[in-house]
Amino acid sequence: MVQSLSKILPPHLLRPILGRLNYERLYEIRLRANRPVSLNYGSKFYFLTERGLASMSDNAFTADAGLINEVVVRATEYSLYAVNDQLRQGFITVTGGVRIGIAGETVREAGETKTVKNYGSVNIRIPHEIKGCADKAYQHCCAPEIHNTLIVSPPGAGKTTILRDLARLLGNRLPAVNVLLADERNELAAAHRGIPQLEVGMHTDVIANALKPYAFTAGIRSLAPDVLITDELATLQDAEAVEYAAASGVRVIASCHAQNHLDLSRKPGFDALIAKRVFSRYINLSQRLGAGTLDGIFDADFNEIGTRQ
Amino acid sequence: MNAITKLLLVCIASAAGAMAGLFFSKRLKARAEYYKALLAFANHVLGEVKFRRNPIKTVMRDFMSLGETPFSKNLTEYLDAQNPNALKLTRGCLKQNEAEEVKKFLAALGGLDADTQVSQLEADKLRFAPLAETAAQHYTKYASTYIKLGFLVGLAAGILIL
Repeated sequence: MVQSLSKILPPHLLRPILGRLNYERLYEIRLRANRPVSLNYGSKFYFLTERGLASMSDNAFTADAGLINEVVVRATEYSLYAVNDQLRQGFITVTGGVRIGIAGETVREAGETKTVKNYGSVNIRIPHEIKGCADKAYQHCCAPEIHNTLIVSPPGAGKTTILRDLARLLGNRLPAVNVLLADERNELAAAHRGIPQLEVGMHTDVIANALKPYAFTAGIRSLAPDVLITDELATLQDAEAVEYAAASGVRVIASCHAQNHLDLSRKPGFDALIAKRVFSRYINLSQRLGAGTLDGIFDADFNEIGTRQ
Repeated sequence: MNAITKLLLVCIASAAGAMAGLFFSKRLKARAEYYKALLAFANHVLGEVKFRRNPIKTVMRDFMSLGETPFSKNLTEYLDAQNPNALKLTRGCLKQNEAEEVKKFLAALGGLDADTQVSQLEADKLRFAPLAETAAQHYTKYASTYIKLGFLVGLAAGILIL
């Protein structure tokens, strides 16, 4: 991870981060043009100074457009064309699973975003795997029988972390279960040049940066998975892709944004999934006791089968 | 000075002339091969950008593994550079302005999205193609002439010295 940051950040920013901070507590480094550099450290925001963290911005390092451009160019390994598909979605994944969110001017052509230029800010997100965070969900949804499971929560409640840990648990299960990770936003496995940078299990294949309908059909045809795991079902096409996978005999574990399982029927395509009882487990997450709090596990009829944390 | 010494002197002068001719001929050959390799590299990068989209340093290493060319040294310099924008290239067989163009070409690689990079590479190819053609023509036309001319100049110089 240190190696990843040293490839991205210039030495004057790297020095206080590596020399004065506990890497385990570092979540984000935010650079905004002509504004002070800030860090998410232990879930609180501070400014970065030569001496480490500060609550006030007085002595903080200031980022400029040149520095931000340099960070992006370094992150792309001087090969912007190689990551343009990611860049169009607003992020780049580099080694170690470090993910760089990018804001700038989008270049549009024929109604589509072609690329992003004149970067105004970057958010360097350092991944923290929480192994074991999905143990309880695993007990209810995957042991012994693997259920089609939908994890439901508002943004920031830990869906991705739980899904990643479920992939790890299933992918390491013996006798072996073949897991396919359809990682559309490359957040689950954080694959870099095809290699998962985060632990997702020894029997797990990853299709990164592909739309779900493609990943589902191509993956099921060519990789013969037992379980398919994917993040953030959002569209009707996504719901149809899940239905296709479930009808193909593949177990699906997915996540989706909603307040809870009762809100799902308001999303296009999800009413059909519920009516057809495609999912036999629903897991509600919230931030009630911090990200990843289990707010209940429900069966296909919405009967609660798992206790709240 | 006896006849054998004189003959020897003339031979040495002729050989020196031929060597000088060979030097210039080799320079022509190096230029022709350099530009041929540069164009081949541009094509290689084009193929990569259009399809596989590997990072530029991987593309360079792939290209270099195909064989050593006079252009390889400049690619090695790029690979060793911390920052391609502050790249320093060995001129080798190139003229100063030509070396600057190649430097600009290399430094600009990877700074654009795929579509724009393809257009840029096509433009680069058009820019370098006439230079490659001229270098190849000069090599075919003048390489052996330089050696012969060098030999004759050496011979004449040897005779004049006597």
